[in-house]
Amino acid sequence: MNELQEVICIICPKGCHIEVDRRQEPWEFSGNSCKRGPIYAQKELTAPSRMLTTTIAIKGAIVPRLPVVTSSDVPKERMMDVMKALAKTQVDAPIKVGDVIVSNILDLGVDILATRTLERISH
Amino acid sequence: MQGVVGAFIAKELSHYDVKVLVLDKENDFANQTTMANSAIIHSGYDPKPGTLKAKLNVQGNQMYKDICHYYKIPFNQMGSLTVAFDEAGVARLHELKDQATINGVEVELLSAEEVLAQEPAINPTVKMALLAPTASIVYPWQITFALFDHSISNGVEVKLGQEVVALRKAQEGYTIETKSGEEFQAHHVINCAGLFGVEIQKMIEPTEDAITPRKGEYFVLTRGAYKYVNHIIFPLPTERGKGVLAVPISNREILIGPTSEVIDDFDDVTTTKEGLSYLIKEIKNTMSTVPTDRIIHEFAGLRASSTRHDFIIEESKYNTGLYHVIGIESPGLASAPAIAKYLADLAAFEQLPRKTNFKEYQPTTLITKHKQVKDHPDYGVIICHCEHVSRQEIRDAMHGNVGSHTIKGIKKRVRAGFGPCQGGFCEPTIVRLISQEMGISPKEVLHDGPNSAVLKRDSKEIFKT
Amino acid sequence: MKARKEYDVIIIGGGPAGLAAAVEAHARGLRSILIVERENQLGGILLQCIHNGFGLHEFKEELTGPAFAQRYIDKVYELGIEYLLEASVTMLNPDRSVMIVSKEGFVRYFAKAVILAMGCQERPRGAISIPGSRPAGVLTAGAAQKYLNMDGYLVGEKVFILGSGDIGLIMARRMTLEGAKVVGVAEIQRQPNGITRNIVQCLHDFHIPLYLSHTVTRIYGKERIQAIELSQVDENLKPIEGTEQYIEVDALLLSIGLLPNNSLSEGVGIALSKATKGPIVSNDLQTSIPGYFACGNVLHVHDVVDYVVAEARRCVDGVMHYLSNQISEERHIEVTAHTGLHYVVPQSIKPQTLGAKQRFYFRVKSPDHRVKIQIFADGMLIKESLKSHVVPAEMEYIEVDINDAVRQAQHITLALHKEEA
Repeated sequence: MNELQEVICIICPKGCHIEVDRRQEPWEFSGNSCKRGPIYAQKELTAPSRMLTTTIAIKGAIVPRLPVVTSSDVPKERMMDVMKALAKTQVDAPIKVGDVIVSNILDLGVDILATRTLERISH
Repeated sequence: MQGVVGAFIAKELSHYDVKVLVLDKENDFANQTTMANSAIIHSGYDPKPGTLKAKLNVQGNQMYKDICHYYKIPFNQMGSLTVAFDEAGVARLHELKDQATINGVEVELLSAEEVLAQEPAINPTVKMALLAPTASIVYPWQITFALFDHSISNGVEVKLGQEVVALRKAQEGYTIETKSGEEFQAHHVINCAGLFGVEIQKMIEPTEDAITPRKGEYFVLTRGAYKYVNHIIFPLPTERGKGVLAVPISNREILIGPTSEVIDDFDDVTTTKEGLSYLIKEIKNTMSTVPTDRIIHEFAGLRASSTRHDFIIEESKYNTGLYHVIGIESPGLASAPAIAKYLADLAAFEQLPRKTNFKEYQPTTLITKHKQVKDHPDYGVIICHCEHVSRQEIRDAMHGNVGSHTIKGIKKRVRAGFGPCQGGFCEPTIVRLISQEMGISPKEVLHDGPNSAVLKRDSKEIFKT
Repeated sequence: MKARKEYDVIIIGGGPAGLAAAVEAHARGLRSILIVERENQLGGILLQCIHNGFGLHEFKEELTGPAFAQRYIDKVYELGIEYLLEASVTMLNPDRSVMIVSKEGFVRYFAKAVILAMGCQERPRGAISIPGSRPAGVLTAGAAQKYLNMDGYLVGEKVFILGSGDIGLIMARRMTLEGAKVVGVAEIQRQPNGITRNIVQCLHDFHIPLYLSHTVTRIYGKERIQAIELSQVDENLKPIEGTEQYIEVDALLLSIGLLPNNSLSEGVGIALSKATKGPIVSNDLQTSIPGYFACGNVLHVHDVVDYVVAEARRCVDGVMHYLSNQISEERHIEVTAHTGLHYVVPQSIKPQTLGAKQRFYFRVKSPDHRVKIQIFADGMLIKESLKSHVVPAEMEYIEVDINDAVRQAQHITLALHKEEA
């Protein structure tokens, strides 16, 4: 593992480039301009995770795609797995914002939630 | 032939009781030179007296007003101003005035004050201008659609997407072979293949003529670029052509161009960095400012320039019943109706039996938009917001004799996508509409040619396998 | 005889600005409100912005674009605010009558006040003159976003993105996640145009290269795009000869900037700012034609939707003041942006409508750190604010206490002052 690493902080627009020295415990952080930086950098280097937004197919609504979001972060390296798992998911309108579309996807402890309301349309 | 000259010829032939077939390699009407030019019906003072160009330009110009009226196509006779900025230019304008008199074109010299009063956007150093009141603007593709629509109603058959690969003498008449392997027989052949006219000719006979593609690049300034441009504005013509013009093609847009560059690639309609900077540099001489932040579109078109520097409209020296209509460069659009008449005389169309049941044109009646909306609510649902084109108008464009269901085809027919956003907002809606109306998948909707599908894949498609 | 269609407020546009303005107008007691939306659903462009990060200021939580819009849509339904769908405004008139075409035909609507909330549009290819052919597969990032997020189609499998604005970055991630290969993003400037979070989470996460100081100098392909030529640019943003790279792609997305959508405003004669391309407004967000107000991206392009809805509420403030007290001749104090600033909104203030505080929104011309933003009233410094970090991609504001010095000034100016090292 790389002992010296750089992380770009995304907590605020400043985007500090934080140098992380992992040669001793606790790690040493430099280049950050506030104390939120090291916390972010630590997380990013140990367990990076992301919110994931995508769409799934929906039938009977005004549009053929329903936007969805994960209920909380998923591990960064599992994002593509979640996408694959959702490839065949399809729902029927009506759907309300916040509806759980898939619960506990891939046993990650994360639900897939609808992020808009789509009424059922006739025809 | 699918261009404006071919359209006039097809229409001319549709009066007679003969079988007419139109072949073209393009998959839409008005898809080459007719689509990308200056849209001007020149007055006719410019061509050298005594040439076919001079004669047919002046005749054609006089015919357009009635033709556009008959087909209910907007025709804007705004006049042109040829402007001079120095004493040499003023002298040249006087010469052009004399040439206009020889060609039989009404013109008038205007003083600098008169020019600036009418055209405040012109460079104030202007010395004098030549006003040609009969110069006009039409959308060349609109007239082409109407003429083919009318011709097809009167029995003319059109096969698009059929590239001619061989032209042979047959026992009686000619055999034409296309790339798809089909063969067609004809007693008479009219070669009106634009840039490819000489190429077609060479399939059957030798010729000393050559067509050189002359590329013209343009850019379009969107609404509000200048407060007024009331006339077509020409600089003084040079040996390279008519110079860089400002053409108010509608009340919303001004066309600036063209460049004029002889090239060897018959397919090269690319725009270049050099072309655009040349246009900006040149137009700065004529106009007081060039609002480049208003540029919304650039394009290039090819003109079929012949080595004879005049239109070639003649029967083959070697093959009777084969006619060539080639080298139709500027003022080809202005001359097109007269070219068709000239050919009709040359080939003695009058000796053919006339159709007794010739149908007059029925333009789509635009009673009032309000009334239309009452019967068809979708005329009131605007899809292209820049140009105010309704859902039903877009559907209509897909049907009929000259219907098209490509993005570009619809754009040419109803102007959807021509405005400031260039289709950014409406294109996805139009793709969906085409797919619904034609019963095809959105992925089959084409931009223009057969390999121009707009969409590639379903989302997550690769994960499904 | 049909009844004359008349409203206190007609709001043009049912995106976040229009919806928020309607909800606010209702909260302020107006009951005669009409939203005119040209699409077949309320919500505007937010509906296709399915990524999250919206709502931190407004709702103190991170929402996706559709979820953010849904909050306002639900509120509009709940309050019973009137709206028209698939209704397109074709013309505005100085008397505040508005021509609307819809399934009902062409109908003229009258309003005491009109709020312009038409949003913005993307600059098309023509705006930056990329030489080459004009094949299919060259489109704006927003159009590709609509195809992908609303219709479910990828516009390409091997994609290049020109422009590092946030929509372009977001689309790099979206297309990658949905199965396309994004081969690169080019930015003509020396620094990215999007926010750091998007650089990290949309590009770095997927190992998508970002070519700074690069632009696309040629498009190849007859029917469908086949390749692009990418070139490095010098400090004057001119392509450097010899740096050309030929990159095969089947789609090129353009994320080259947004322009306020002011065709209608121009049509009625509303004065526009050369810098913002939006209407010139005073502090009540009223335009040069009385009774016409503007908010959101039609006024100036925002980067955070939360600021759009906040602006919509301030706009309704102005409308309420106008409706209750129609002062025709008010003194305007001109507000102008000077050194280092690209623009300031509002472009004037009216002493009689000023509250206790006034915010001035601005963008800087170039990235910088440790700068002071200074406000002067007739040349006298009245406020300065230290900013540790500024970039053109982020709209900033500075708030000023309104005192007599401000009220009596002839001219207010804002300028960026670089701290000495």
